[in-house]
Amino acid sequence: MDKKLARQRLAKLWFIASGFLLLLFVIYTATSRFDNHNAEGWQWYTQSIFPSLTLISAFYFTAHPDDLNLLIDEFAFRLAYGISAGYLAVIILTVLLAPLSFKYAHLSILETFHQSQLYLTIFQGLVTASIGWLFGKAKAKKASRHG
Amino acid sequence: MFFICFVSIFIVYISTYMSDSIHRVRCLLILCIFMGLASPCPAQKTIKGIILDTDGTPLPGVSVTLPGSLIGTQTNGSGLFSLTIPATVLAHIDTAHIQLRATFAGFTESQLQLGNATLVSAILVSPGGFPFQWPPKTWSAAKTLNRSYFDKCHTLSDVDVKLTLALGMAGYSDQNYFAIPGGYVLVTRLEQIDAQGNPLKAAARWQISTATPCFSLVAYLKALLFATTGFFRVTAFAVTDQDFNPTGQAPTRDQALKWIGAPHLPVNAGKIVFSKQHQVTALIYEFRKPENGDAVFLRPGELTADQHLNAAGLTAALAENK
Repeated sequence: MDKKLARQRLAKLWFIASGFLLLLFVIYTATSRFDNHNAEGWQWYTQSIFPSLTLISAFYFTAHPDDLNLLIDEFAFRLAYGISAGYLAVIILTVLLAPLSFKYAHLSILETFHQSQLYLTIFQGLVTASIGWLFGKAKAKKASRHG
Repeated sequence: MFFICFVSIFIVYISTYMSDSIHRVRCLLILCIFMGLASPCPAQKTIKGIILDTDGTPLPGVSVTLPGSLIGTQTNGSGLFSLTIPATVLAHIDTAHIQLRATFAGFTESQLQLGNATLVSAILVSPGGFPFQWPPKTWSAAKTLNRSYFDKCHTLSDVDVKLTLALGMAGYSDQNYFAIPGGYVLVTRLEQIDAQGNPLKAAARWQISTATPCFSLVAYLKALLFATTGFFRVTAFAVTDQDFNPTGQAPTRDQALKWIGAPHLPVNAGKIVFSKQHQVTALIYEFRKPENGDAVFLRPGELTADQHLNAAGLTAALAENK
């Protein structure tokens, strides 16, 4: 699979999802959704999104022109894309299900965010590892073709 | 004691008629023996003390009695008491192991071990509850109810009948009573209200956690974009002939939740005549619970006492039961 295409598809996924959440958090700040605890709300957003988003941005904006001709393993791409999509879906669901969590479990949105760290941390490690493996493997494949 | 005095006077009287000095000396010796017997005889004993709750707050109106006798007193507004045990009673009890009993509605009875001491302090424990402190903690809003509601009342028990009837009509069921100087306080259970002071419907009214509306798309979107705030209220009706001012301390919602007293009017308070000096004052304690934070006491409240009483349906219920 063409590395350029893979990079674009992954970047599109991450920027759309994080853009949607960013918009939601801006609205939350405007409506005092976190009462007087805006910093805690934004801290959850940056901790959940930024490490992986920074990695994707680094691959997208700092790639050498020669790298665009590389091929990457399709399985590695699908794995990285699937894990990323799953991770982002879990983050978005955590936010969208906060009203239900408040209604049935009596957890405020910040308490829900706090508890979500338990599973997001593990998930985030998998996301970073799969993306790193994807772009790392591209060079190896190119080398084996030329060899 | 009277017997000893009588015998002593009798001996002195007899001795004056005795010519023989030896007999006179004998009489005086007998007198000394009697006086010696008289000296260890206990005089009256005054015991002073203070009764506190587990928070260290003085408890007024606590009944302090000597078990097995009719001797007793009540603590004053500062939780202090002074109990005098007459010599006649002391003569019949073991003065080295005097024990007093402290009782207060809503609290576990306590035995005060005194021994020979005359000063004592005791802490009363309320099982799972906080006392309704008197003078009361700072309130959000207050209103003295129109006396015409209680025109036909002769005792505080009659006032209680009027109040409980009105509370029943307004949907209140659990009431807690606390004895206070000159009367009593009737405290309602913590209820959840809306921003206008109207009680929430059905079970949501008595729910401790912030209630949320039934599931619908509009309700969901509202809950998604805006924080859900809960409003809570406790109404206390103070019936007393004494003036009072708030202590300046703000209650917490947890304390208000545990203002658990006696489930019925204390018998002694009910017998008090409802005089012209008696006032029925509604004290409103209002709390706001933000979604992402602890409940805060509102001082002043967001609504007036009149708005609270109208929204709760108490004004109408009291007027109907005139």
